[in-house]
Amino acid sequence: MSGTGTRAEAGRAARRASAIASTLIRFAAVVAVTYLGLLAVTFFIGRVIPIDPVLAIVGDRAPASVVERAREELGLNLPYHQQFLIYVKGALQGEFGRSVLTTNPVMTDIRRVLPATIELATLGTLIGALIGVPLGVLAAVRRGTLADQIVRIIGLIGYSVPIFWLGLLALLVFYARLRWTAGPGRIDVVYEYTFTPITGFYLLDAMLLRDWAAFRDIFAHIVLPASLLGYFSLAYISRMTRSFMLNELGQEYIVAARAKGLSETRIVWAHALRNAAVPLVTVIALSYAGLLEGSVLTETVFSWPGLGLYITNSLQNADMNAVLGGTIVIGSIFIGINLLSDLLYRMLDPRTRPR
Amino acid sequence: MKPLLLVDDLWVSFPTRTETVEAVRGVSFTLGRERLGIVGESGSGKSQTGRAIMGLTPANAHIRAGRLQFDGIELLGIPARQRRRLRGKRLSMILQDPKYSLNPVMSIGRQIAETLRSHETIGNAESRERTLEMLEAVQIRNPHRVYDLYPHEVSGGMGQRAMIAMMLVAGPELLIADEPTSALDVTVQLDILRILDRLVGERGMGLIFISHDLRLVASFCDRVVVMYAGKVVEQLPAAALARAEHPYTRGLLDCMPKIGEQRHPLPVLERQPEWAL
Repeated sequence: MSGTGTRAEAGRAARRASAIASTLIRFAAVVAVTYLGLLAVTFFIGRVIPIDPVLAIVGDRAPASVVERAREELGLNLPYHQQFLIYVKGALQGEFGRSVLTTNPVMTDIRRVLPATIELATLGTLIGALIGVPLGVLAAVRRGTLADQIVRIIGLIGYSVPIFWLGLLALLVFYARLRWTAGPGRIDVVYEYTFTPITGFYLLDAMLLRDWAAFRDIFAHIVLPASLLGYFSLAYISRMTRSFMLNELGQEYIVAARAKGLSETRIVWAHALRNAAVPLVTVIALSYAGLLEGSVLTETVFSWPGLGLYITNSLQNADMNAVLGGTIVIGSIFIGINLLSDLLYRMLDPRTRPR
Repeated sequence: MKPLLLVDDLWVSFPTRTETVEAVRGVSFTLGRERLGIVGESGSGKSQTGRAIMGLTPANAHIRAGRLQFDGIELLGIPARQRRRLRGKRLSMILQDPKYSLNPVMSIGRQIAETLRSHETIGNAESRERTLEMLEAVQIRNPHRVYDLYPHEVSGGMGQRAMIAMMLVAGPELLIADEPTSALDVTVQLDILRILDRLVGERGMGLIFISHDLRLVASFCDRVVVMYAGKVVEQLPAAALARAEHPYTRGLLDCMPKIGEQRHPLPVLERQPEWAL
């Protein structure tokens, strides 16, 4: 009995291991194909748009020989498939050429601006999820009551009011009038020479450096834009949570859970929300990815030196290397977040696990 | 002797925007430690009667009764908290389709143990032990394996056994089975009924068996209540079903084919408006 039991057990374990391995391989293949597609699209865009990178570097009045030399240096005289190979090779090594605007390698610039964006988006998503999910649950449980209406109105406002307008309003009220928070930027100029970032995530850096005065200042700077982005994602997350929860609360297994005599708290949080969490993961991940790429307006209003602002500036100055580099980085982040939410999805829902 | 359950003039109504739908209209019956079958077509109010006894009527419904007593406790008069403590522990309910009535993201063993843990303060080891015993009692051959499986990984028959285990593990005195075999294959139906039959007999429980299957109810129960349009139209011992008097019951019985008989086409039920009054 025990002999067959362990053999069956071993067989199951082996099957499971091979299932996990094949899943991982499939994941890797999907990522590779998606990434290649991303590179192809950005390459195509870079060649199609009516901006001559050579002219952008040497200027309109350069002699023909200089233009020709620059063209050769950039590799633009090669056939397209060779250019694409060089492009892919560069992208894989994180090499996107130099920015015309800042004269730094694009990757150096991105390494400087990306943490600012990630820091803001992460805080915003944390606020959005930690407040939005409970609000959505509350609205669903108290469906049709005043609480539900209030949550829905909060959501509707956050969803429909332009974020730059709210941003300006918030600056006017909390910074200009009340002086509760700091103004635009990430950190006050007085810290410019005393505060040397390590990771680029300023809040984290200040903690690592134990520079609490700087920490307070950084916090005062980030609190407004992070709250705004948080409100924005809260609006979306609470609405989705409400509808997912209403769907789950109407299921038969909820009736069964009541028939078992479980408390309402347990039914709502351990049964309904646990099931609603499966699609919610995707919603939160997408909203996070959205904040990473789409907080251009917030970054502009708050002079936040992030990726959105960098790419917009580069675009306005025809700095194609920077634009393409930034686009690829954002695309990679998107792929990464999707992958992560896929994995999380599998952890939360036993029906999607390999048997 | 005091009856286990006393239902006297039970009404359940659902107000909608334009009118009020009366799902149950003055149902009365008593139940001892016996098997009572409630039959009726869909919409006859049989499920809502069962849910009203359990206290699982949707929040927007109005429910009233002359008396609704379980073991002498007036169910409509006690606070919700006390009502909840009765559910699962002293009265319990099996739902129709295990595909929907089991939580898809919780393992079967944990769902069964959860019933125990919400009514008793017991440790992990003991709740696991008693869950495994219960799985064995519903004739699951490999309880250790099934304990860790998820609902989507088992068959319908196995799922319904798990459902029975989940609802009986805390040892209730009254069980309401709401169409417990309607979603299952015919061959599996018999297995489930046999398990239910044995457990109800062994534990001396009262059983309300809700079904639309007249023959099944007649063979499985001691007494039959026939419902039509929210009312009890007839109440009689199962053995006396053949001598039913109400034209609705008679009509249903006449529609059933009998072996060795040639009737083509089979008669259908001719509804009379006065039945619904």
